[in-house]
Amino acid sequence: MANASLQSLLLPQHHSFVNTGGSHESSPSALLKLSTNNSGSISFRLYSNTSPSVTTTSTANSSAPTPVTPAAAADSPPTPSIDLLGRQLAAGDYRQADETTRALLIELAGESARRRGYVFFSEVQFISAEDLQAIDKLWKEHSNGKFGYSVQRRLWEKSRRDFTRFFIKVGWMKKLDTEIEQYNYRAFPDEFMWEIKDDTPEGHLPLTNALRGTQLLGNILTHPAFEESQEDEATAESATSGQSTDDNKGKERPKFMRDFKPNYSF
Amino acid sequence: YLPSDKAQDARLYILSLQFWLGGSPDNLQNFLKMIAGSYVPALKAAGGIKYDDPVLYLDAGIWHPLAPTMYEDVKEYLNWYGTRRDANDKLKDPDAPVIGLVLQRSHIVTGDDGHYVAVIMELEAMGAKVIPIFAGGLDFSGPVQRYLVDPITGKPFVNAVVSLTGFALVGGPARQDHPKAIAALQKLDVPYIVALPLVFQTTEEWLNSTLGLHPIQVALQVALPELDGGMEPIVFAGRDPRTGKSHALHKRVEQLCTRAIRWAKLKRKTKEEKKLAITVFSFPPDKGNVGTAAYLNVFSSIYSVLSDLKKDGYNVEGLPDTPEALIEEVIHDKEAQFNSPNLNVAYRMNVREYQSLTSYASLLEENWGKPPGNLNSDGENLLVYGKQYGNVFIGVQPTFGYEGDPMRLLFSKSASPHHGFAAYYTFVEKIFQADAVLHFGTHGSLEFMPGKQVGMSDTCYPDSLIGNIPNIYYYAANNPSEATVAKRRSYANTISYLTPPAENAGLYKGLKQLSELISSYQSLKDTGRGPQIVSSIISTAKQCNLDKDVPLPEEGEELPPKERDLIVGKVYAKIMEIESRLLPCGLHVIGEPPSAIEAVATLVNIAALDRPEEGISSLPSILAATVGRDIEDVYRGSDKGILADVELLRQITEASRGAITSFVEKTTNSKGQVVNVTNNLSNILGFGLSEPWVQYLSTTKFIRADREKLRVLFGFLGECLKLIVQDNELGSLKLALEGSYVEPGPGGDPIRNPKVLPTGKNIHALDPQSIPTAAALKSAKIVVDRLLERQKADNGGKYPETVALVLWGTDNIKTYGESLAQVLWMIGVRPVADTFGRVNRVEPVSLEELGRPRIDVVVNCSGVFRDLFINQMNLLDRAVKMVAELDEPVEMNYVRKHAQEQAEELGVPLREAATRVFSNASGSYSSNVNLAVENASWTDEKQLQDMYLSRKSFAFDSDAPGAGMKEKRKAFELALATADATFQNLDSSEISLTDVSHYFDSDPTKLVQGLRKDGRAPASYIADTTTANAQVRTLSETVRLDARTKLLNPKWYEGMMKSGYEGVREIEKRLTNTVGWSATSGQVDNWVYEEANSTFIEDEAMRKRLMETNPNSFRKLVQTFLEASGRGYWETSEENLEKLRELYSEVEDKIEGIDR
Repeated sequence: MANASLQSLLLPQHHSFVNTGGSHESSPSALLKLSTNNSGSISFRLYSNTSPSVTTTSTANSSAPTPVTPAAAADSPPTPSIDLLGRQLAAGDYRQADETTRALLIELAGESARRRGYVFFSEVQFISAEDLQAIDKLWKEHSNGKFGYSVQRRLWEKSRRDFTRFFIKVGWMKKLDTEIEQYNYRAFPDEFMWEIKDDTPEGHLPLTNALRGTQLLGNILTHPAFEESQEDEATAESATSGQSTDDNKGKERPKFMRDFKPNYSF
Repeated sequence: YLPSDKAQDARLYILSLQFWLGGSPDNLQNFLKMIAGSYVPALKAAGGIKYDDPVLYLDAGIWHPLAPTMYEDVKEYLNWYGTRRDANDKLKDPDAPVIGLVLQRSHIVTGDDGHYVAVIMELEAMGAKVIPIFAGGLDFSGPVQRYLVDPITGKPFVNAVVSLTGFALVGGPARQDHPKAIAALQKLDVPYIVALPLVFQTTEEWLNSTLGLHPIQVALQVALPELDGGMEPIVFAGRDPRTGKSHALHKRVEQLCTRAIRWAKLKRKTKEEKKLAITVFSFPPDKGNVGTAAYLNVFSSIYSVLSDLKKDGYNVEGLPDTPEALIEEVIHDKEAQFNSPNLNVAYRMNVREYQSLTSYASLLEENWGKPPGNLNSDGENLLVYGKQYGNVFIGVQPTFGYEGDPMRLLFSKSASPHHGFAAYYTFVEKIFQADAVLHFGTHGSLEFMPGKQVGMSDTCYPDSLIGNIPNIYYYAANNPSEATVAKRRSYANTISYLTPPAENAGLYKGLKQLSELISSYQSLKDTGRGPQIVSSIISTAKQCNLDKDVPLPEEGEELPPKERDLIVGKVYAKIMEIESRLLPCGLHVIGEPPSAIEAVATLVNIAALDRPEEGISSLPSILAATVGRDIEDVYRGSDKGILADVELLRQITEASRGAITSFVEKTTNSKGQVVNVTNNLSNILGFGLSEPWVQYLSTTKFIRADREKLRVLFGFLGECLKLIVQDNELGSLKLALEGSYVEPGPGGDPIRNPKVLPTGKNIHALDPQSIPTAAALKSAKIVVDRLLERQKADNGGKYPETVALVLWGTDNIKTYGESLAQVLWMIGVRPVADTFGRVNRVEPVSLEELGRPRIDVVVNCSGVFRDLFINQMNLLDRAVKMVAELDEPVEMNYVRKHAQEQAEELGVPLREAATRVFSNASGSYSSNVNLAVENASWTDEKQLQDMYLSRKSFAFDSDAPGAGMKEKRKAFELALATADATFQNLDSSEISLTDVSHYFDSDPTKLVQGLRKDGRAPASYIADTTTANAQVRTLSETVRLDARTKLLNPKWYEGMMKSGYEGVREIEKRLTNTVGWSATSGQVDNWVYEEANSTFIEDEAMRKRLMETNPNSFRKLVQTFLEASGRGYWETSEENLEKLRELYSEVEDKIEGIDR
C-alpha cells in the first residue's frame, strides 16, 4: 500500500521536526502560519512534499479546518467515510480524523445510533470487524503505530483492564495538584494533543470519551476485530514501554498487580 | 367567538407552552423561530420562519436510550425490553437482577443525560436489567409505585432501586413529605439507594476539596434522602466547567452499579447460599477488647443472631452450643483460657496474593512501608483473625494501628489504613466472597479512615476498603451522628439497637446509711435528738467524700435548727441526685428486649418531661399541682437545699415510680414480659375507675391528681412501653439480608424523643438546617443563664469573658441544637428561620434585652459535628463576626474586645481576628488524646496538649465557605488564652463523663491554664440536661457524681459483671477514662482512685472474678491503677502499689501461659 511506504518515509521527519521546531509549532493552525513565517518549517514542508497527500497541507493558505478536503464546506462536516478518515490522517490532521472516527462509529452502529447521536455499548457488536480494523489500520499507519484501537487494546490489557490506569497511560486524564495523588479528565478538545510529538502518549488517539462511562470503549476494545492483533504487538511493546513518560507511580503500581483483574461477574 | 388574530395568538400561546414544557433543545429552537417569525414585523412580513411542531414528552414514564419511545405502561416497556436484539446472554437470563432507576425528566428532555446513560450501560453490561423511570415534578412516590410494582401481585418488578436524582423521594429540595416517601418505599420493599451528581461544584473542585461534596448539596441531597431511608450517597457524575453538563465519573459509576447489583442479589440468592461476614471490633487494640461495642454484649448478641439465622435457613454449620464457647473459639483458639494469647487465624494471605487482590495496596506503603509490615502479620503473611461457621465468617477488624505511636497520633492528618486492615477487607470481599458484611455494634474504624467528609472519590479509603460489599451495621440508637458517618462514608445500612434498660443508680454503703439517717432526722428533729443525728449525718457525709459537694461544718459545732435543716437538706438533695440518676445496667443483647419492669425507670423519665406540643403534662408537674405547687418551684427549692422541698420532690419521684410501676404490672404476664399492651390499655382506659395509677395515687398525698391529664399521659406512656419492648432488631437484620427495605427512623434519646423506638430502624440524623429549634433556644437560655450565674457566684460576681465549649453532633441531634443555641445566646444573637423553617440567618439581640455583656466563645466542633452541620458552623462564624463588628462598648461586648486585641496582635483585620469556630481538619476526627490515653502511650501532659492544638486548630471561615477547614493555630491559642471557663453538655443519661473517651478527649482545661497569661486554671462546668430539672455543675462535681453512680456503685458494676467478658472491660474502661480526666483537667479527687482500688483490687473475691472472666482487661485495669499512681494522679500507700505490681506480674504470667 502506498501509504505505508509513505509513512515510513514521513514519520522520521516528523520527529526531527518536533525536535528542532519546538513544541507549539506543530498544531494544525500554527502549521499554516509557519508556512509563511518560518523558513525552517517551510523547508521541511517542501521536503515532505514528495507525498501527494501532504502537498495539500503546505499549499493550503486558507484557515479552513479541513484543508485536506477543500471540496467540503467548512461548517457542515462531510459524511464520514473510511476514505475521508484516510485523507485526514494522511494529512496529519488528527483533530478532524478523531471527529471523523467517532462519526464513523455512529454511522456503522446503525440507524438508531445515528438518530441518537452516540453509540450504545451493545451496538458495537453490529459493527463488522473489517470496518473496525480498517479504521484502526489507518490510525496506526499514519501514526507510526502510536495511535489506534489495537494500540489502546494492548495498553488497556497492560493496565489489567482498569480504565483509570489506562486513561492515565494514554493521557486522557491529568494529574491534579492535590495532596493525594488523583486525576481528572482532560477537557475536550483543548487539553488533548492533536499531533505526534515525543511526549504524546501512545494510544492517545482516537478518543472515545468517558462522558457516558467506559462501556462503549470497553466493547470496542474487546471487539473480535482486535483479538488476534494482540500477539503481534507483544514484542513491539517491550521495546517501547521504557519510553512511557507518564508519572512514575503510575508505572510502578502495575508491577504489584500483574494478575489482578477486577471481577464483576455476578 | 374570537377574532382571527386573537385566535392565532391563542394558538401560538398554547404552542409556546408546549415548546417550553417540552424543554428540549429542538423545541426551544422552534419556539424562538415561531415567536420571531410571528411577532418581529420584518420577519412576519417576509412570511415568517418555518418551524416544526413541538415534540411532546410524557410528564412521567419509562425511558431507555435504545427504546423507540417513552412508555407509560411498564408491561409495554418490558415487552420491548424482551425483544432487544442487542442484549447479551447475561441480560437475557431470567434470573438477571432488575434495577429500578429514578431519573429527572429535565435531564432527559434537555439531552443532559450522559450520566444517566452511563449508569444504564454499566448496569446492563454487568448483566442487570433496568427499568429507568422519570417524572417531571418533585413527587416520585407515585411513579415509583406505578412503574415498579406489579399492580396485580403487588410485588416489585425490581430487586433494588437507585435514584440518580439525589433528591428526597417526595418534595425534592423544597417541602418534603418523608412519611409518604417511606410508605411508598415500604410497599416497594427493596434496597433504596440515592446517588447524586455534582451540582454546585465542577468535577475538579470536588476532587480538590478535602470537604468533598459542597455543604449545601450535603444538606439537600444527602441529609434529606437519608430521612427516606436512602442509602449510599455515591457521587456518580461530575460537572463540566464549560458546558455545565453532567458527565459520568467512570469509577464511581462502576462502584455504584456494582454495589446496587450486590444489594439486588440479596433479593435473589437463597438463604442457604448467602455468605455473611460478621465483623467485630477491638478497640483500643487489646485482646481483652475484642468484641467492643457501646452498650452491647457482642458475643451473646452474635450468638443470638446466628441461632436465629440458623433457624431461618442460613448455613451456620458448626456453631458452638453457647456464647462462651463462641468467644473461646474466636479469641482463644480452643486452648485453655490463659494459655493461648493469639486470636484464631482464619486465613494467611501471602504478600503476592494480597497485592494482586488489593488494587490500592501500593498507596499504603507511604505510611506503612512494604507489606506485610508488622501489624496483623507473621512477617511473611498478612493474618486475618476470625472463624468461619458454614457460610458465616466472624472476623476481627484490625485497628488503626498507630494508637501506640504518639508521633503518628500527633501528625496523622491523613494516615492511611495499614496493610493488615486492607487485607482484612480484601479477604472478606475477594476470598470469603461475602454477600454482605455485618459490622457488629458501635463502632469500628473503617468509616473514620482518611478521605473526603462526604461524597467519596476513588482515592478515599472508606470507599476502597468497603469495596463492593453491602454493609449492614448494628448501631446504638442513641448515636445518630456517628451512625451518619458510617452511612455516608462506608455506605452502611444501619440497624439501631436499644441501649440497655436504665435503672436508677440507687444508694449503697455510706450513701444508704446517710439516707436512713436523714429520714430519722425528719421524724426526730424536733425531739432533741436533732443535733446528734445531724452530727452523724455530717460525719457520714464526710466519709462519703460529700464535703466537696456540700459545705459541711466542723463536727460538734453547735448549729441553730434552721441551719441544721439546710445542711440536711443539701446533703439530702445530693443523695437524691445520686439515687435517681439513670444508668444503663449491664449490656444489651440483640434479640432480647427489656422486660416490663426493666422499662419502668425509662418510662418514669419519659413521664418527667412536659411535651406541650403534644398536649402532655409531665407526671411531676401533675403531682406538684395537687399540693398547690409549681414543679419548677419545687426543683429550685430542692436545688437550694430547702429540706421541705427536697422531701416533697422525693415524694413526687416516689409517687411517679409507684404509679408507673402499678401501670406496668397490670400489663405484664407472670414471666415479667409485657403482653398485649394495646388490649390491656384499652381495657384499662375503658373503665376509668380501675385505672391502676389512680388506685395507686389514692394511697398517697397526691390523691386529687388531675385524672384527665393522667389519662392522656398514661395513654402516651402505654404507646412508649409498647415500642420499648418491641423486638425488631433481629427482624430488621433479616430484612436487610433478604434485600428488603429497612424502615428509617431518627436516632437519639428515647426519653426525649420516643420516635427513636422501636429499635431496628435504619438510623438517620435530622435535616441539618432545621436546628436550632425554638424549643432548643428556650432550653439553651436556661442553661446559659445558670452557667453565668454559677460562674459569677464562684468568681466574685464577674461574668466570664470567654467560655470555651464543645459542640457534639449527637448532642445537637438529640436536643435539636440546644448547645448550638447556647453559643448563639452567649454572644447574644438570635437564629432566624425562613419560610421552610430552615435556620440560615441570625440577628443580634440588643444589649438592653440581653441585660449582660456579650460573652466571647471558643467553639470546638467535633469532627462529626463538622461533617453533619457545616452550614451551622457557617452560621456561627457569621454570628461571631457580626457581633465583633457591632459598635458597642467593649466592656459590654467581649467578642469585640478580644477580637480587637487579637487583630492587633496578629496584624489582621477585625473580621479575621474574630475566628472562633474550630474543629479538626477535614476528614479527621478527635484530638487523639483519647487514643493516647487508652493506650497509655503518652509521655507527659504537654504532649497531649500539643495533640489537641495541632489537631483541633482548624477554623471554618464564613467568608470563604467552600475552602473547608483552614489551620489557624495562633488564632486558636489566642482565643483559648482568654477563656475563663470551659464547658460541655451532657445530653443523655447513658453517656456520662467516663462512659466514653470523647468528653475528656475534647477537654481543654489544663491546656487553657497553660495558655492564659496569668496561668490560672479556668473554671470548668458541665451542663446536665438529661433530666427535666437541668443542672450546671462543676466538672469535679460531675466527675464525683459519675464515679459514685457508676464505677463505685455495686448496682452498676454487678450489672456489668453479669455480662461477663465484656463487663470486665467496661469496668476497666471507666477507670481509664477517669485517668483521662486527670490528665486533661486535673479534676479527679484522690478518693475516687482509692475507693476504686478497694472495690476492685482489695476485695479478693472481686479481684478473682475479674481476673478469671477477662484476664486481659483485668491486666489493663491493674496497669491503669499503676499508671494513675505513676503519673501522680493518685497518692496511695506503698502497700497498695506493691499489691498491684504483684498482681500485674501474676496476671501477666497467666496470660503468657507460664505456670508457677
